[in-house]
Amino acid sequence: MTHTHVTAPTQFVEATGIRFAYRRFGRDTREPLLFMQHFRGGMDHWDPAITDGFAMDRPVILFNNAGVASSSGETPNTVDAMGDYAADFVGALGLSHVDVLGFSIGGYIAQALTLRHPALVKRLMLVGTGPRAGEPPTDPKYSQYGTSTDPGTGETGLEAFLYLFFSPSTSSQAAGRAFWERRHLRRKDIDPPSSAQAMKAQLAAIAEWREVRGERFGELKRIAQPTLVINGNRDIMVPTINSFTLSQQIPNAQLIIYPDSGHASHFQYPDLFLAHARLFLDR
Amino acid sequence: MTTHTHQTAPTQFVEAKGIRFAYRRFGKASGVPLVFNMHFTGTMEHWDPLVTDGFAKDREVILFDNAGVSSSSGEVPTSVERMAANALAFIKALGLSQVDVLGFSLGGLVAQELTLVAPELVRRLVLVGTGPRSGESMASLTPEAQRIFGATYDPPDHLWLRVFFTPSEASQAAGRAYLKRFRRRTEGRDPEVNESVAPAQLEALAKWGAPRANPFDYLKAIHQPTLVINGHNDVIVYTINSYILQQNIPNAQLILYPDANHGSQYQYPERFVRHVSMFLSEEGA
Repeated sequence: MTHTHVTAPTQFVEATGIRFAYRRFGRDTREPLLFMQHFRGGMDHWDPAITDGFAMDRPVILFNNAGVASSSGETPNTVDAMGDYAADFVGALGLSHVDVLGFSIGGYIAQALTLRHPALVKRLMLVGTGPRAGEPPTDPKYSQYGTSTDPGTGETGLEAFLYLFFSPSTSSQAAGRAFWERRHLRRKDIDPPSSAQAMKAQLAAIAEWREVRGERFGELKRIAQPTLVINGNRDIMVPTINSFTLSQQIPNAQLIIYPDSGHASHFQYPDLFLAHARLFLDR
Repeated sequence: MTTHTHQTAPTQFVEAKGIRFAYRRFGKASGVPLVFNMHFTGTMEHWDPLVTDGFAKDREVILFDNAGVSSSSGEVPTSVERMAANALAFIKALGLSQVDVLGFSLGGLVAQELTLVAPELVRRLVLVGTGPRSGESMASLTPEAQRIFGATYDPPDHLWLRVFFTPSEASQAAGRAYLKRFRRRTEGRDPEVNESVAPAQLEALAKWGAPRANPFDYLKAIHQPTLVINGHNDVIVYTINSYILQQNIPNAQLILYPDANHGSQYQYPERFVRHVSMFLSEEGA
């Protein structure tokens, strides 16, 4: 049976004492594309239009890192440690290498994974993210909305999500609501919300990631993988200039910036994003 | 009817504003034609056949020499505004009511100005290796450009290896392949520009790049869907200028290619054609 975003069962694999939750679906044709999620997010926060789109011609793997949602353990408080856990997870699946898509903090983790375990990563996609010691967000509502919780779901509510991930324009907000509907299509076997511990540890990791370590942006020169950097033109979570910086510093990086969009430009333009990402991955 | 290509399309002429414009028109006659605006001292010959023929598979391609350039008569004006007025006269003389416009470098400045003065004429805009008014280091040639244009090359075409490509082995190899393609047309070639072209174009570039108050405000008036493309390290028109264009044009997408300089579209011609075709074929607007 061919599984999709909505039907793929949650599976588990153990590594270094963590029981990692993951879902794997799509055509078994080549190396899988591994998705790394944003702050507080789990497997259910991806866009089925994107995951199922990729799954048409490659295996897709969604997973929760240590301590996130349905995975066991504690979320560590550095991006490096998260990158190491991701490597453990990939190893536990018996995979020699993967393509990686990292969104937001998932993009930080994807960079750490690539730098610390370069042989595991074939191609890298960095979406709505930035380098270590990049430009921090300046939006006044960033912190309040980012850590807010809808008591009904235990997760970020729609209003905060639309504010943080999309541009204020009517079309972007409408695209945000359309995404919100798509991402709630899966109703069975869904993740629990991430714990308070996961959020606190991720906040600590984000704070640590903002610190300069050695030469600013120096480590990006060591990313030899073909890289695609993607963002919206007005990202208030990880300001868009950080995507420009990534593309300037990573030796083999292509940059795409979409109009009238924010942090989640890929959820706003799933078809265009898929077409661009596929061109990149299949080259 | 013969299907013409970059190599075989005859140079034709059309008169407007007392100027005899040289142009070539080929490709699949359907939908909105794509009009190419050339860079500093360039002629119709400097476009890459892989790019023009790539587009011509599913749209009409129009190359032309603006006033005073190569096979066109008249004088090169000393402002981008007047170059755009000439481009507009040329397009109207062809009887076209709507076009897509691609501008490279100086041609990208002309394309912006053309869009501002004739918004109803321009459906979609593609800006390659170019920048905004008062863009960074655009008031004069960049130090790198001064060195590159100031040197002599044997053969002279090798200038373009430095202008368009990075020093990396891969980029230089792509550059040599581009030069081969660009020399392939042997019949009815455009002559190189005469010595009066560069000074006039430089004067226009300097006026465009000169500092002014709120320089990027004019970009808010470009409502056309716009695709901005450049290499990640353009030393002729610094890459940050592409970012500025994207950030200030209301509906603009940006693509920057790796290990590429001013001529990224000649380094990655297939990828470029795919990306631009995808953009030109989008639904809506």
